[in-house]
Amino acid sequence: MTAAVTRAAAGRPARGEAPVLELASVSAAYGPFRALFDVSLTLARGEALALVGSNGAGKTTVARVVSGLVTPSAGRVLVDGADLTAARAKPYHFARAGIAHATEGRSVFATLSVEENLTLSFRRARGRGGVRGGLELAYEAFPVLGRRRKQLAGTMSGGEQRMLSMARVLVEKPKVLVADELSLGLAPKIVGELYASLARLRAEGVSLLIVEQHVGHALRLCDRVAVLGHGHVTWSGPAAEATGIVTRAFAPAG
Amino acid sequence: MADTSLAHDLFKAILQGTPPGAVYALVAVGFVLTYKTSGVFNLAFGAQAYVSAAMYFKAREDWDWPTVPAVILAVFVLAPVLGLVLERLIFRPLRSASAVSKLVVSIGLAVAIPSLFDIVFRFEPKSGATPEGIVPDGANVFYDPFGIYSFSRDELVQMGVAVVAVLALGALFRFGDLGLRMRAVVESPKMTELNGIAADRVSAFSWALSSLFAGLAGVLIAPRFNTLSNADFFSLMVVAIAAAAVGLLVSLPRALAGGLSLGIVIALLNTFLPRWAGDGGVMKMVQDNLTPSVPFVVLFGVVVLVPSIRKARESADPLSGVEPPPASVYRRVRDPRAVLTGKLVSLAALLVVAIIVLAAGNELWVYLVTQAVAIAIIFLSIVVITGMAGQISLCQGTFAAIGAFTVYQLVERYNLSVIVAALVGALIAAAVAAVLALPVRRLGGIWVAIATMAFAYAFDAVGVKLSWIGGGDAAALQGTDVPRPLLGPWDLANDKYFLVFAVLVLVVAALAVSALSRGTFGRTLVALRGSELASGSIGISAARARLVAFAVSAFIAGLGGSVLAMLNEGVDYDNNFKPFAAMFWVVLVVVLGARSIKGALTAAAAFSLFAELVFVGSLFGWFIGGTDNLPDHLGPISLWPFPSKWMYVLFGLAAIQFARHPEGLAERSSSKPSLVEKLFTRFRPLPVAPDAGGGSAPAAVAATGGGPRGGAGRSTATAVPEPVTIGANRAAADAAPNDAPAARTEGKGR
Repeated sequence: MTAAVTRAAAGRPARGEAPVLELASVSAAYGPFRALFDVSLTLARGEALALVGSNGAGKTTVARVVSGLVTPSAGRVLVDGADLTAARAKPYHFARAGIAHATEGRSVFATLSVEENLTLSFRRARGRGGVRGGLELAYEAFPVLGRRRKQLAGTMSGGEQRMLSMARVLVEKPKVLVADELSLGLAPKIVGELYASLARLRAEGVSLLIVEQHVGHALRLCDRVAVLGHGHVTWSGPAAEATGIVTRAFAPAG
Repeated sequence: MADTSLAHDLFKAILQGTPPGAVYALVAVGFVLTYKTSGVFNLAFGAQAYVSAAMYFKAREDWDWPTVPAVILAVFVLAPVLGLVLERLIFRPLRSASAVSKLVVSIGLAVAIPSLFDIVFRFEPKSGATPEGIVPDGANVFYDPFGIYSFSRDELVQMGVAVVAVLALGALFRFGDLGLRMRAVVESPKMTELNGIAADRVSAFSWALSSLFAGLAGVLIAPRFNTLSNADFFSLMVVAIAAAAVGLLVSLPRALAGGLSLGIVIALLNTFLPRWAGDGGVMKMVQDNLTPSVPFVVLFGVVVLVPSIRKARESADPLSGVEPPPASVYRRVRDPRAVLTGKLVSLAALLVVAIIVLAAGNELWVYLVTQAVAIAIIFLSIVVITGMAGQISLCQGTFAAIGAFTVYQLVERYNLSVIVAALVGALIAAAVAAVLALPVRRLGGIWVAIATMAFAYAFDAVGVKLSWIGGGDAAALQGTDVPRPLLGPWDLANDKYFLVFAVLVLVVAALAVSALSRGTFGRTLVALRGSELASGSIGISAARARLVAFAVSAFIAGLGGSVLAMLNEGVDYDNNFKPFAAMFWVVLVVVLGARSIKGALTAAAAFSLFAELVFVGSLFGWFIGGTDNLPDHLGPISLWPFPSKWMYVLFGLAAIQFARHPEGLAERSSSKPSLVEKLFTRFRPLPVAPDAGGGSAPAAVAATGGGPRGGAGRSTATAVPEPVTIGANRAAADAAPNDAPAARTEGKGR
């Protein structure tokens, strides 16, 4: 495929180019519950990283730290070389810096219509004049959304809601897309479609951080894999070498 | 009458109804704005309006400011600042709290904010002196555009502002994406931020805007009142909510239309009903009673009959799990001997108080303690409905009043024994509550509170004036006498005997509630409070349990109302059972502990005794030999006696903690770890990773690598290689002194 794959096969980004996303020794907690211990990850431009691990390993927390939803208790998060943790950045700073986060479960506004959901982010990113063009692009990518533009997003099926959040990033092109449990509860056919659009995004230079229980899809798409266990990165390396290790990560502890 | 007169009168009624309709519309639009853009069913809206109105009059009359600066101060400075303060200090931290908690907080604020304003600015509403509005001589200059009905200048301004305001807001929402952003923030602030929008700024702006609107409405409508009073602003707000309900609480234009049509409908009823009614009969009764209750009947009807009003806003924030889980309500397992000792000590203390009051208490103290006992019985009813069943009922005052009025009626008309009459009254209250519960029990959440509030106001508007309930005109002239009962040799006209009698009633009621809460019924209600869905799956009928809870609660409230009426030797509805006053009861009980009898007793003691003990200074005065010795000034700050309004401020603001601790202050002291213990855990976070440098190998002490969503429950499900107890972790922290400082800074940082 592209140069990104070759670079990733070597296990680290090309020398000289700052990674688009870097987590440096990040620890995070929810009140008294500590979820991450000293996690370090990097993501090069155009690279796809799969984050796997069993339930409660901290995958979703990593995703939330990356998009600013959870502020790390220690360590730094750098986007394009800029340290966002030092600036006490809020999630919207992360979003403006180019991080898009498709959260686990529902990731659209249920009380807004399809069109309003899209308008909300297009309006900020593309200005008043750009909204119409953005909507057209989105409906082109997912025609079903065009047919349901006036429908409240909360009344759509899980797959359609996923398409809606995917349509947003397809049009807006973030630097990094964090996709958390994209395939959860969806029909295989829809999962296939969603992964096709992820591949398309990556081909257009978007870096991907894929959090996935459904490892097969993730491994096929991604260059590198990081395995998370009990809040630590227990292994990371090229996707090709990951199969055995990933199976072990899901085996019962002990 | 001629044919033309019908059209003439119709037109006249419509014109006549428009000005009050515009007032309802103005408040309704502001209320919808708040609800739509903040997601809070903000019952403090009336209080916000009151504050601006009071500020305006303070500036005009006491400070002699001209109109324009006074309006700027009251509407464009004070109101938005108040909104920003409310958002930043109260509602932003409560974002993830349930809608019911926010409603309770807003009731607390509705009580606290006006009193705080009155104290801070030394504002005393003057009775009888209707203040002048923003246009000179607004109440006395009239215009008659159609030759049928004359509008006053004030009315024209109100109508004009209502229309302009709706147009301006409509433009704001249509030609910007501000409205969209506000709605997005209401659903999920975190997800809005993921879209690159600063949610905090949007929500601060919503609060400032809607508060400005409250202030504008307040200043404009103030000239309609004889005296500026918080309770009047609250009732006006309830009427406006009815108007807004016509637009399902989300549509601004429909709120405007709803307000106008409400005003017009009332004017039409006032014009035409008397013609058909003549001087007596059913129509006369309908006219006298239906008209004032129209808004409340409309509100009740819409809430109960139009499900879409309840569905409109029900969408949980998918990212609410990102916030740390709230402290869970738990009870520490306590040493049974300590519990017994504690109970004995408090029983002994109560006995001592009882003996002192009975033996040495003067008239005032016997009265206050008896009042506390009677109120405690009513508060037990709130324990049943709110503490046990988890429903916020705002009509407990009405149930109590029904009990009291029944005693009055039965004794007055049939000369029945007072005790029997009290039991009958309690039964009638229970029956009314059961009927009320039929439509209300399935509503859930804030809608129970709104429906019961509408019921309370409808009763307030109608029931009190009916001759067969409140006594009507006869009662208004002569009062509603309720005699003290005669029990065998004891004539309870003696205040001390009556105190003993009231205590006995309280003890019986408390034992009954306690038995109820420990029995199957109590557990059913606790299960329902936990999860209605899960309870349904094990065969519990939520509807039936709530119906019973409402009836039991109303029975107790009715009983308490009768005892209170006997104490006062009259029902005295206006001073005891008004809906707004009864709302303060709920705040008080919820703040101090709605989940236990102890909480209700504490709340009742606070209700009757707090002012005398603390604000008048009897308690401190007793220590230093008389209230006269209390300092009345400390430098420029005036001390005893404190204004009794502080009570509303204290307990109203304390309602804020309900969102985090629904068990209340009285329970908290015994169910939470002590302060020392909390400090101890705070400075020693539980798990400590010993090798901060390596980072690859999972440390054996990762005891609480809990997932983000489930909090404590989830962390136990996590597979931990070597389960390490908390104690061992502390030992580990002690053993590794190098790590301790790092851990400490972390604890402080949070």
